[in-house]
Amino acid sequence: MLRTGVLILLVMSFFVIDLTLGSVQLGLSDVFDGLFAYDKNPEAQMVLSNFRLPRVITAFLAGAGLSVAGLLMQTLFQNPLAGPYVLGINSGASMMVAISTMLGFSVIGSDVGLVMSALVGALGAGLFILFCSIYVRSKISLLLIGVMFGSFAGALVNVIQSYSNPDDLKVFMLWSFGSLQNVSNDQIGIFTLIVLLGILLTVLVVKPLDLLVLGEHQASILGVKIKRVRLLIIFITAILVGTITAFCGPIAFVGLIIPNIVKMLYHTNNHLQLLIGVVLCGGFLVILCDIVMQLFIDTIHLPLNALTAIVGAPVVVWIIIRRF
Amino acid sequence: MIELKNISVGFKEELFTSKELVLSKGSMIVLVGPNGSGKTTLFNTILGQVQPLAGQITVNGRDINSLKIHDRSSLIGFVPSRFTGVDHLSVRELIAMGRAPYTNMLNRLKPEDHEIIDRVIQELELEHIQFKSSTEISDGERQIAMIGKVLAQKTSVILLDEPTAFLDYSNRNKVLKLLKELSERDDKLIIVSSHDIELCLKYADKVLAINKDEKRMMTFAPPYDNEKLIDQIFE
Repeated sequence: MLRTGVLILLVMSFFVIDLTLGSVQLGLSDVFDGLFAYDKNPEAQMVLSNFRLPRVITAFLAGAGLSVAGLLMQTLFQNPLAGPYVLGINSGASMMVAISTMLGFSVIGSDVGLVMSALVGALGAGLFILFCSIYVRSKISLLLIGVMFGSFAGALVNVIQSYSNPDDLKVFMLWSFGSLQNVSNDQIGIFTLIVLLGILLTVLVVKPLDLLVLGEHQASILGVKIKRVRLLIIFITAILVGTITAFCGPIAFVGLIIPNIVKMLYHTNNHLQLLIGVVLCGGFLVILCDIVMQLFIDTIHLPLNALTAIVGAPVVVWIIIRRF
Repeated sequence: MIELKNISVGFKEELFTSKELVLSKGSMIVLVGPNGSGKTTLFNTILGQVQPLAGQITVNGRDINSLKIHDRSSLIGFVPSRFTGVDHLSVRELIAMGRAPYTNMLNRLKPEDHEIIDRVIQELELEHIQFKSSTEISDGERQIAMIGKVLAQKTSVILLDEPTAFLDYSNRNKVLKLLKELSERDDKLIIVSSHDIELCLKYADKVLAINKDEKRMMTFAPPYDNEKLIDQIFE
């Protein structure tokens, strides 16, 4: 409880700090006025509601959602190095986004089309990895298959890039850097709704997740309907990763490192507690990344995907050294 | 109580057959047979994970394959031969997993669940390691903790697949003695598969032996003729 309380306080304070940062300088009092005293400071209110709040809420939800997806993958595959990025689920989403933006397949219209294609890509990649996991018993082999799938999808994207027109290519390149500023004021509602839906669905599977740490055979003997739970977990992961990837671009490593850090903080395998932990820590990490990006924005433009990889890759190496 | 009614056990291909056999509660049964003779497959068949190729298995009078997965989980418990532990999973949390068939959707433990867990921990003398991670204890302690999990599950039947395979002599003896005591005191049916024939015969109320060449399961009752039994099964 104490840990969760401290995490909530940290998230709230960094949330507010992040709200003060951006191209227009706002003080803490401006943020307060903008949020709670509309008439007093209409300019701050406008900046906050149109730019800052969508950006910071997106940061929190993207971090939280990807970390929940990471927790789901790590428990399903009983592998501390599993995550939506290494298993190629992001790549599946990216590939479908590339196809829809550059080959003009977006039938349903821009936003919905983009989200739908990312979702389909994530779900396809998730089902592929699930299928492989039934036949490939080795944890490392499964990760390698995920990495290979990622390379394969990446290569297909390269082929598509070479045939696409420069405007579409630019849109896709900007998207692939990862950004928290792509979710507009109008879109933040639907983005929040879908990510919250993914997190709420995870609450439904906390009991199977608790038991899956002993392996599928033991879990099944303790009453878990394995086939149904596997598909539900992949579906939830696809919803979270697909939506977040569609709006923010591919974000590396967050889903892999946060569940490991939270397990070390909480010392438990109770997935309800872990779920709360990863939501808070994941949200905190991406808000922190956003703060770093905003602080250095005048000197260097750090793409989000690069920043999470710079932080994440050494942590992954550390986990490998400690565990294997 | 388990009844095996003329079953044929195997996965796609038949491994062995068994005539009508009744295994009653309050007894400790030892299952022996060479590697690959079908001991684990028999367990998986009783657990409902593999269908028998022919015949029927009933537990307390109910056909195992007509039971819902949830009902099955409160009727039969299983301990695998080796559990290597899970990081950050404490011994107490591991034992608490046995309560899963009785908890709600969020896996919340009720006060009576905690009482059962406390009692199991006390009985197995695991108090001093209950908050330790399941990866930081010895193989013997981990196997006893797994037995604790299955005791917390409160099933009338417990299957153990080579539970002593990775233990030293004193731990092997300790585990088998404990199982024998549990079968008598709690009136449970305990079936243990093992290669540790001589030690097992000390405690077994009945021995089920699979003859791999003849593809059939035989039963032996005490007093056992160790050499004859080994001759018939392994040579």
